[in-house]
Amino acid sequence: MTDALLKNGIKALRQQIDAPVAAFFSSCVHCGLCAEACLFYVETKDPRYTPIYKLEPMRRLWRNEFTVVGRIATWLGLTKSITDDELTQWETLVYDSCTMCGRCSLVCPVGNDITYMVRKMREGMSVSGHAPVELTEAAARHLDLGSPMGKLLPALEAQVAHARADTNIDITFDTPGVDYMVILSAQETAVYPGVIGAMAQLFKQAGVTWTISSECFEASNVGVQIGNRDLARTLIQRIVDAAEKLNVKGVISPECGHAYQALRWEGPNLIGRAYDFEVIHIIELLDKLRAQGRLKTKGQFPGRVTFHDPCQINRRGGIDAEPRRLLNMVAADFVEMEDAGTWSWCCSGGGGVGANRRADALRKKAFGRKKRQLENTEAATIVTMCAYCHHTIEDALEENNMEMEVVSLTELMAAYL
Amino acid sequence: MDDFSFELLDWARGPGLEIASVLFVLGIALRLGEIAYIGRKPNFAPARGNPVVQGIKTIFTRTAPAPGMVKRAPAIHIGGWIFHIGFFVTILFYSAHIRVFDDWFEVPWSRWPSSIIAFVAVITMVALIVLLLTRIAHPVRRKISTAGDYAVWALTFAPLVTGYISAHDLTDAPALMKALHILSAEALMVAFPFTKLMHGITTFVARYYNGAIQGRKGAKS
Ligand code: SF4
Ligand code: SF4
Repeated sequence: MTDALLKNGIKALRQQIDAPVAAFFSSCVHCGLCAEACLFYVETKDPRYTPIYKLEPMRRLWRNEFTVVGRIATWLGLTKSITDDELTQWETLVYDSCTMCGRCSLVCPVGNDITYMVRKMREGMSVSGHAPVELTEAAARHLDLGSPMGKLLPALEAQVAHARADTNIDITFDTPGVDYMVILSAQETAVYPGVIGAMAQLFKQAGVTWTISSECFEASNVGVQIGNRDLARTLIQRIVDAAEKLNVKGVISPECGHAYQALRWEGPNLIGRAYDFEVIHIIELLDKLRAQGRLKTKGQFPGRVTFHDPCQINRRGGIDAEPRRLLNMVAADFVEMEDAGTWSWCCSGGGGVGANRRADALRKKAFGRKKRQLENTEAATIVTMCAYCHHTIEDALEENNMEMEVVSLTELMAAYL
Repeated sequence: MDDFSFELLDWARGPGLEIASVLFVLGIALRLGEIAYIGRKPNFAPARGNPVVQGIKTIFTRTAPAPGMVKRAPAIHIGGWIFHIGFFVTILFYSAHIRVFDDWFEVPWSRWPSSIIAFVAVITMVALIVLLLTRIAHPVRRKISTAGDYAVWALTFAPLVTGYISAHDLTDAPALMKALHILSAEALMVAFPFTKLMHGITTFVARYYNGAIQGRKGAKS
């Protein structure tokens, strides 16, 4: 059983090796600088958390099978192949101590995109049965029940009813031919549903038409976090099918980092074609509406606010100036954290780390950098544009007895229309 | 002994250099061929930025350290910079090397005074020693170091030290020393394509890919 799993895992990993991976491994000079960028290393000083070290099994597979010298050495019996025990040891490096935040990929002097490779390494790990149990369970729920938190349609219907009552705006399900189909992360549907009413108000002012598909409204993608292409593809296909059925111009990727990464950047490659519709992040859309003069605000938030950049949306997604332009409309006292923007530090819960109980203690420690930076701003409010960052930071604030509140940027904008 | 030294020197200057050059060039071609052969899949996600332009830009911009990194790892940055620049200066601007280049390329080349080259060679060796010490002493660098890293260090240090001894006539066997110097440089050339020394070329490919992946998304690199 284990042998077959291992074989399939290695096969999946082999399929992930491409020219960039080969160029990256060929270029590594073992300088160790990537460690200095990684929240898990800088907060623990444990050298095992050096980003490139997290990829050691994959590096050997590349060298043994994709280089002539490696193939000769393997043929002569001089190389070591990947074992199941080794992958078991690497679980905590590939999943628990990497949020796929992308900082290491920005500092490597030879240009290695280590995060790109961690994403690929996870394919081999998950197929060989080495993914964290919480993620595997969430994957099964998502596949069978429509969301990583289970069946959420009744909850969503209730939240939409609340939002209708609160805003007096008609929010519809399954209306064809509108501008946008809105999808939500389970975190939003279950924990931060305020975003639904906020979008209703913002879109009403801007004259944007939208709907929610009752067949597919889940934005998150456990397949991308766990590293399982087949699962990721199935989940993306559900969104694509729903959007094409409703014949919308676009799909709004909500305040969720990995959902944006999955739908906007990985999705077309997973299904092997470009979509027939546009994918736009909610904050990108709001900024576009602002530029077109369709989004106007009045009044400003009274206290000091700071902004947390979700890694998958800014560093790995390129949405950097947009939230700042919006925030400056509604916050009189907006202060940036140290390293804000492209160099922002991860909330410590991304990439599936937050869902992985085995990683709890490590995640708490890794939050140390963000904690100090948050405190230095002396802000009472943290604005962000990812519901999972929101949730992770809220938990961390509580664990650290910090008196700060976290607010969604979409909701903040809607509060000042 | 002397006969042997001269024979060795002749071999190193003649067939040795030819063999090393051929292996150097073919090895690099093979390694680049390996990367190109694997290829990569087409990307269907509509671009938000220009991957090609950012890929090319990143080849250059990644030469500068990331913000705050010099402070976090001063020895590696400063040592690394001194070593890389010093190594190329001693190769490219030392008069004895230029005489060889003259034979090959017949292009005018600037020669630096030997005293300056000697100084550069010494600080280059000091930088290499510092880098070796950090490799042994720093927990991260020690953890990720392989036998190959130490071998490559020795292969890089050898031509510098033999060259210095040879240029300054520090032994009673100048021909032997010169032969050893040339042989050590040839060993470095042969090792280049098959060790991490290859980063001297593949880093341009890696930086391009890094910039292109980020550039497509309109993200910085
Ligand atoms: S920073 Fe880059 S070259 Fe240095 S060890 Fe990490 S991956 Fe290798
Ligand atoms: S992506 Fe982020 S968390 Fe993962 S290894 Fe790189 S720096 Fe560390």
